[in-house]
Amino acid sequence: MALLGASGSGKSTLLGLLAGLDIASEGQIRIGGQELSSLDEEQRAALRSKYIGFVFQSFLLLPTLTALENVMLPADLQGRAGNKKRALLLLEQVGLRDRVHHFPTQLSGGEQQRVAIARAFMTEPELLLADEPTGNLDHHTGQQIIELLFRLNREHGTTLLMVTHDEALASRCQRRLLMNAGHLEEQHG
Amino acid sequence: MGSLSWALIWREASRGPLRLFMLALALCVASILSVTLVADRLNNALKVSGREYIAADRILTGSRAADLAWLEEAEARGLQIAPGQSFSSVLFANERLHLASVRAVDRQFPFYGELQLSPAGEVSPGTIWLSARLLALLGVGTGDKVELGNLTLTVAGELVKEPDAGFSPFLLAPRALIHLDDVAASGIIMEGSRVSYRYLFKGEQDTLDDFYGWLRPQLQPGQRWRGADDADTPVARSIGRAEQFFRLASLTGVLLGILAMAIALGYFSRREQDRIALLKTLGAGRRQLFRWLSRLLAGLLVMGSLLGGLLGYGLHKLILLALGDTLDIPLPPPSPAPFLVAAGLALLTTLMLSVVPMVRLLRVPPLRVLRHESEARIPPWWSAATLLGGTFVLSWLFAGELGLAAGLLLGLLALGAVLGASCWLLLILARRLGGGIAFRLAFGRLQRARLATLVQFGGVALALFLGTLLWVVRGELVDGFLARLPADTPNRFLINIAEQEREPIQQRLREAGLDSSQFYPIVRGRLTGINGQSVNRDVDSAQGGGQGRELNLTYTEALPVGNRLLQGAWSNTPGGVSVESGLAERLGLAIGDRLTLDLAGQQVSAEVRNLREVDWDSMRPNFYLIFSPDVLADYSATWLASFYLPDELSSFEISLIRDFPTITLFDVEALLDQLRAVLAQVSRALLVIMALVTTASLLVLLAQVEATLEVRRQELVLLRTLGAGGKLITASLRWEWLAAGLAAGFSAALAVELCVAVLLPWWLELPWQPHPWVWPSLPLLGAVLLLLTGRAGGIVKGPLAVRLRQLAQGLG
Repeated sequence: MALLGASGSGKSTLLGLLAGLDIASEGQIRIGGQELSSLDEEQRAALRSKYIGFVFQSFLLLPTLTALENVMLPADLQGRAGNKKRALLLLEQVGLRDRVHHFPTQLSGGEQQRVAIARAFMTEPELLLADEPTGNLDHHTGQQIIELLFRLNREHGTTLLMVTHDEALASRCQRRLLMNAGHLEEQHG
Repeated sequence: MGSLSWALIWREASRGPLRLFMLALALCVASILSVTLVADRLNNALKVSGREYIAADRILTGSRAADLAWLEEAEARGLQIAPGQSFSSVLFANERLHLASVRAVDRQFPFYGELQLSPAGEVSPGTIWLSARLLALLGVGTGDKVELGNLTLTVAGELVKEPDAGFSPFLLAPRALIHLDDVAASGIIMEGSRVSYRYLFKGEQDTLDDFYGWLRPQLQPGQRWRGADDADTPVARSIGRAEQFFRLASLTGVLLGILAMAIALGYFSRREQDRIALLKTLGAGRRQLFRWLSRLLAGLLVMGSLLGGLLGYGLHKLILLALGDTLDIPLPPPSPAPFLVAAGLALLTTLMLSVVPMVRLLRVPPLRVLRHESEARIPPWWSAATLLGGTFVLSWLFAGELGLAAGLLLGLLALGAVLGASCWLLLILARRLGGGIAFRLAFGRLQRARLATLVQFGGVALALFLGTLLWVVRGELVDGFLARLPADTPNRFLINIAEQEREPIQQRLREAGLDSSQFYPIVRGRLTGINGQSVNRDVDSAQGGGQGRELNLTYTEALPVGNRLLQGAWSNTPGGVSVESGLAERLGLAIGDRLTLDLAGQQVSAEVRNLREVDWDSMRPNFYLIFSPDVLADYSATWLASFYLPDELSSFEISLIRDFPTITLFDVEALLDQLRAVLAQVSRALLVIMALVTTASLLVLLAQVEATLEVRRQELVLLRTLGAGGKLITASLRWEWLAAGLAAGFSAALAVELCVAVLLPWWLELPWQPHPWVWPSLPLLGAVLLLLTGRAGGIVKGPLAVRLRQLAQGLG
């Protein structure tokens, strides 16, 4: 699913609300059957940890952790041990098997985003939220990242909601929603 | 949390701001530990050896013998007594003669401490022990004969050391020790001779106190009952000042350390917001994050304390080494107290400084990963309040005085206001100057972020100010004293010059080409009344000399050199007296008061005409009371003068004593040398702590530069995006460092001069002098240091593109 819209139309606000990063002043958002506004910050964090993965425009990797450690981080926060094998597998799937012990500053932008994608799939989320994942990358690298994202999305059976400016990219999604001054409408065709 | 969090903690701790935090914490700990360790060990050593210093539990001193009934009473109460006398006299041997300070004791001497004689022996009638210097001067050895008055004594050996030599009034002449029984036979002591009596008492504390209660009303003026705790010599005063300075320096080190820690933690918390927001987004709860941050801080606390502990212990060793033989006492091992104090300081400081950053981080909204501008809303005064409140509590705890803590707090606030305001004015002035685009960018930034700029400048200025203040005070303390002693400072004092000897001696001095001071007539007398009221006869008063004991009174037509009139005018009209200001203060004297004095049993009185300030460290003859000539004219006076004798004319000294055997010549060269040596050692010890404080100042600068980078981040990224070249950004940053350094240096110079003007007269009792060098050097130093640390801090260094890319990614 793609979420399109001009700058300031409210895309990021919606993304924040869907992830429980912010609380809606009106209406309801349910994830896994739970009403978000009825949960406190602690419970919402636990919910995110269980159901949601993220890919950001500016990658947001922790610079003090290696690629492998960054991927392991979400599982580690859940207190799940023995997850190294899965992290290595994911890094292999994103084509970074030989760079697992590199720190983010030693990786190119495209490589960093691959690590971020591997991290997003680490906890087997049901919902993957991507905020302009190619926004900081050149066209060619952006294409590779999108291919990777779609492929993993298919393989893991995840729901992907992607905020983007890119019409071409949006056209490859099954559904396209257009945000316009706070209102959503479905685009067809 | 799994193993990852430990990796995260460890790697965070070893990076930029937290590494600075840990180093600053270590400096705080080292600062407090080194100085308290030195003070603790010295104090403990003094407690143990205090009675060894006076060789007794209590001593009774005076210029007249104690009443026999007193000694019988003391013995009846179970106290042990060792009587003694000191006087100066000339010794003859082998056709040579030399003035000696002779001490007569009995076999009980000393009760405590060690009397070192070589070869080992004891003081017995018919023998004399001579110091090494006297043995050499007289050219005698063990078994030789020496004449003292009517007696011929056999040299028993060398007098190596008396435990209580430091308290002798005749410290300066070479020493000799005889048995008390020989004094009478020598015929030296006659009516009017200048003898000091010294009775050593040994016994239980309570018995001694009871006995003193009984004795006190009977003590005569000039007699003093003392314990081990007071010594009033120039050396003791210098060491006292040095100790105060050590405490000031240590407190400064701690304050600078706290400042650096606060800046580093503030920087850390602002930068860490993005990461914490990410961790929250990825599912970390507040409790989890609290645990993580607590472990991080605890780790830093432990590492910083251990590092600081090692550093502080090493530095205290270094300080003791530098003090060298100034401390001629065995030191006990350190007690646990200083370590507890230092650990307490580390814990409290860390807790106090981490409250606001911790709350800021725990409250950061996870939405920040999408909206970078969202952050926890924390009132800006929180940081200031915790910092000031914490500093207040800390100084209260460690200084133990509420007033001092409040004063420190108010002082810091006032200083911050002065520094901030003057920096701000300078900034406005600079803005008017205009300049290239890099210049305008830099000043535009500084002006927009006003509060941040003020904090930034204030921190740098405070570091420069505190560091420089210490260097200035240290200079005044150590060099100021010696610098005020000119090269021809008198090193010989002549006393007991009879009226008829005055003219011939002046003649001899002129012939030898020696400049002497004025010759002052001396009449001995005691102050007995003020405005008709009998003065307090509490001769035990430790308030300093002047009342009670016998004073050297003089008269002169003109105000002596080196004295300064504070109140009233100098006048020679009959019946007047000029009073030293310190004595006037202690006795509550004002101009117009009438003083009554006892001169050998006769009463005279005079009216206070003016108050004088006297430089007691000047080594010139100084007097508490100077009368108009008529008041003392009827009393027989001896004369006193001082002069400078160069080493190559030392034969003059011998011929003068040979020709005028009744005068007394004091060689104060030894005292001057001792003073110089002590000051040199104290000065070296101070360098150790100064190095520590200077390092703390540099840490503040480094932390400030790192933190400024954080504040500038957004703008730099924007500039970069807009196509600004690395050179332009670098240039604009350099302008900013330059401006900050100059402005901070200038306001620090202003604050230093103001503070020194207050501190020197009030605290160290030294006259104020301007320090013109601070005005050009501090702004220059500030600019150079900031430019250098800016370079070392990594913002201007290296490929800027790499650094900015990290910044653009939000987690740099």
